[in-house]
Amino acid sequence: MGAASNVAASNVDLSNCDRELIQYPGAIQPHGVLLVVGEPSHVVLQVSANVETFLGRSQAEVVGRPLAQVFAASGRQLIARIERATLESDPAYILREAFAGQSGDVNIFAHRSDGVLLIELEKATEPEQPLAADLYSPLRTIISRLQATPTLQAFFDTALEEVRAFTGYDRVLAYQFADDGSGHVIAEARQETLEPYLGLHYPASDIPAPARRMFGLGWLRHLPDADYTPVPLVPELHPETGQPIDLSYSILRSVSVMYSQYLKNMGVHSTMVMPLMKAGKLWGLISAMHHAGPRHVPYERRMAAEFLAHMLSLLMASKEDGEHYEARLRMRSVTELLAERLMRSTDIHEALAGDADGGSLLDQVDAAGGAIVTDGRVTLLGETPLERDVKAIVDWLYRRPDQFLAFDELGKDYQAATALRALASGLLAIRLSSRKPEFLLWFRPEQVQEVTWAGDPSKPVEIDEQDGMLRLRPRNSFAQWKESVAGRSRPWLEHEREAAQNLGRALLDVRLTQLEKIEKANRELTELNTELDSFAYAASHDLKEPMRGIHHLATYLRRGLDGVLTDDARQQLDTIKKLARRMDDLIEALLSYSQTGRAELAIEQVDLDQLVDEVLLACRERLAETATQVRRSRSLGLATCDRVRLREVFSNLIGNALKYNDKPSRWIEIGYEDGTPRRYFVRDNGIGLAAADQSRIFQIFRRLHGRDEFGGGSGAGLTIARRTVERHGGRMWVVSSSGRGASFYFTLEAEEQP
Amino acid sequence: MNFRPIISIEDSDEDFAALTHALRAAGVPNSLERCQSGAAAMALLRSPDGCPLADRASLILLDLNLPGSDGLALLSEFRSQDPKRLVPVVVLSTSGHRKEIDECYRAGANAYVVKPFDLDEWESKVGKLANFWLHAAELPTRPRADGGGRRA
Repeated sequence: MGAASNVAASNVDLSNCDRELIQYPGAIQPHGVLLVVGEPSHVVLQVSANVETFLGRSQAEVVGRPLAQVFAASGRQLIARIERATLESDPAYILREAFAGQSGDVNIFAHRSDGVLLIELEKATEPEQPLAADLYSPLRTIISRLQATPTLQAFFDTALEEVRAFTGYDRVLAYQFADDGSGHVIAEARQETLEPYLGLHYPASDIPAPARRMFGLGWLRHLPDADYTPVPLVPELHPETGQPIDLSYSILRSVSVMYSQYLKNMGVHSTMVMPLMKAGKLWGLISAMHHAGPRHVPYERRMAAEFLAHMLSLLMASKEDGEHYEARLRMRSVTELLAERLMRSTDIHEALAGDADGGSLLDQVDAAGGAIVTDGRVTLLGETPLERDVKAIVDWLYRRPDQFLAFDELGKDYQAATALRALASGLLAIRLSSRKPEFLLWFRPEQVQEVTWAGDPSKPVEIDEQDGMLRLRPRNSFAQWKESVAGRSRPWLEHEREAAQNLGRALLDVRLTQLEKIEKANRELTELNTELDSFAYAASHDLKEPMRGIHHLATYLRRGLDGVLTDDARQQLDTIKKLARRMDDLIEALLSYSQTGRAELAIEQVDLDQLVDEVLLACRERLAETATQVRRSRSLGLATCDRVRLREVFSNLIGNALKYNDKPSRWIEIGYEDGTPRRYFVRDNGIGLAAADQSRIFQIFRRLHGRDEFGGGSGAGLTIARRTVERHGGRMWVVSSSGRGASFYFTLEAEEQP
Repeated sequence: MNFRPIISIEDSDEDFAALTHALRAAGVPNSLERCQSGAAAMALLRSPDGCPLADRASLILLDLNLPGSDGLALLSEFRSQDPKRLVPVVVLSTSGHRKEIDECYRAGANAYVVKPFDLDEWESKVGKLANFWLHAAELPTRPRADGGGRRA
């Protein structure tokens, strides 16, 4: 294997080996003749030094002469055909000709380059044959066989066998380039006695950039005999411009000595190299080699081979795409499943972690581990680094601007990942938020690969010093050199990256939709609440009216029939009045509750100590009656709140504390605990609350005791108090145990989210 | 002492009965006229005989929660008919809601009373109320009167 590189081998050294101007070799291979012809004069400007052996005329008889004179008899026809042909960059076959006094026919080709006409004469090694009919039928068979292959590997195996049979070479390789320019042999057809090259890797320097560029032009390159002596052009440079001639497209262009040396090392005498193109880019090469001896493939067969290579490129691309097609389909269905689940669940962790039906991040993209990271929460799936390492990776990713990132050698970009390479050599990351470190991650473990290099890749060429200059020679040894590739994962394929991005997009869509839904629901809820409050208010008003009527009528009856009524009847009338009164209390409580939800708060700076003083003053009689000690260990200070409503809150809590106490020695304590925000409390040593009752106590009209025990009450006080602090943004809760007193806590602003 | 009728705008028969009873019990001699709805009250206000409201009423007791009408609008109408506030308007309501109380005063009510639930309390409150407005309170000067402060 190797490159059809340049030949003017005199000045290649370490500093310029990758910048060799291989299109300017200044020489050709000896199986033909090159004439550089000026236009429109058609005067020969330069000629290869071997012209006499083909045309029977010396260099002096050719250079400076018009074409018509050089070609004598066929000159006129040649010029006519050249003028009709499209000669831009691609050598066109002009005619087959035999020259007087010469042994065989030559094929004549012409193309334009750098403003001159290049006319090439190549020995015709086969008797003239009708091209199309003979070659079309086998080609058609080959193509239909290739189409039927089930996998890409089978496709190449078949293709190479066919190419070998078709060209007669004893070894044909398919070679695929990696992104870094290195490559390896993916398929091989060879004569059984030859040493296999399948699986060999070649460093990028073996086919240097200029050679890859040359192959990328898309044409077949043929070297009939690697052991040739280059034939120089005479004169060496264009006589008018003083520049070398660009031979990029020349059929006869001389190759680099490096290349021919390389081939000799491999025991190869002849090559034919065809590019494999995918989407306009060089994907790989089909390389035919002949070990048995020189081999000149005639023009017609080369054309057919070139056509075949084009077909291979096309078929290969569709084959490769087809192999990913099913994977794509499967991934798309997973994306749909996940997107649907995301729509239903508000929790992306839950939605993407998968369930009994499968369908997790790891089904979306084939990876060993996955992670969902949002808002400080990390869900790990499969085999992943520890949570803290994942968090560190996310912090690192967050500092990068990219929306999507794929690494198959994470340690190279992120030093800390070197230690994690057993789990996370490969990383695929999708950013979910621009403002928070939120990501979906996929991990792939290190894949310790045994790579068989053709020679030592760290020492791609041998150097010897000559004429005071460092000179390069391709390595002589083709002993295989094995290397373990560490810190790398299996690469993320194009369709896998695509699948991950699709999921990311689906997720963003869902989030957006959900956000809209939540906003809408909130608006509706607010409206509904207001409506409900208005309704409760209006309804309770209408309920009060008849209640008063009942109460009044019972009173009239009682008055009018006093002295007539039996004791039972009187008692029943009193009960009617009592029930009506209780109903009125309940309605009043409901009204007051609905008002708590509706009314605007009158927020101001309030001295809470003063507020508590007022409340205590209002219930001084009850304090005295029950001989309750009031403890106020520290000043409550100022608070931003609605004075009247907060007084009600304290009034309610202190009232309850006084009410629900059966101890002989009673106390209540009013104070706060430090924190953000402050936690105010009213504490007592009263009857306390069982754990089960601690949330029920805040429900409206929920009573834990008999109606007339502990002085009764409407059963809405705590509900209203809690709603009041909630309207301030705070919350209310109770800490208690049965028989051991209770502490009612409340805050007046929202707590910070953890 | 103003012996012109007291006008009650009240849709509840029970409340009107209680009111009647309470006024009688308090010894108020004025007659009591009732409008059962806001519409009836409007009709009364726009009496075609051209006799001003002040000549037809000594006190207006307005129940705020009248069906099919806005008590507040009615209150404003009273005030536009009687810009000098010669006839006191007392609002009686089951609601002790601050917002409503404030709105009534803004619309020109002379007083706002929450109807007590207990009949005894109600009767005593209505008696005191009538006596206050009919006896104790000094009202603005009537336009075509003798120029003195006190109305006959």
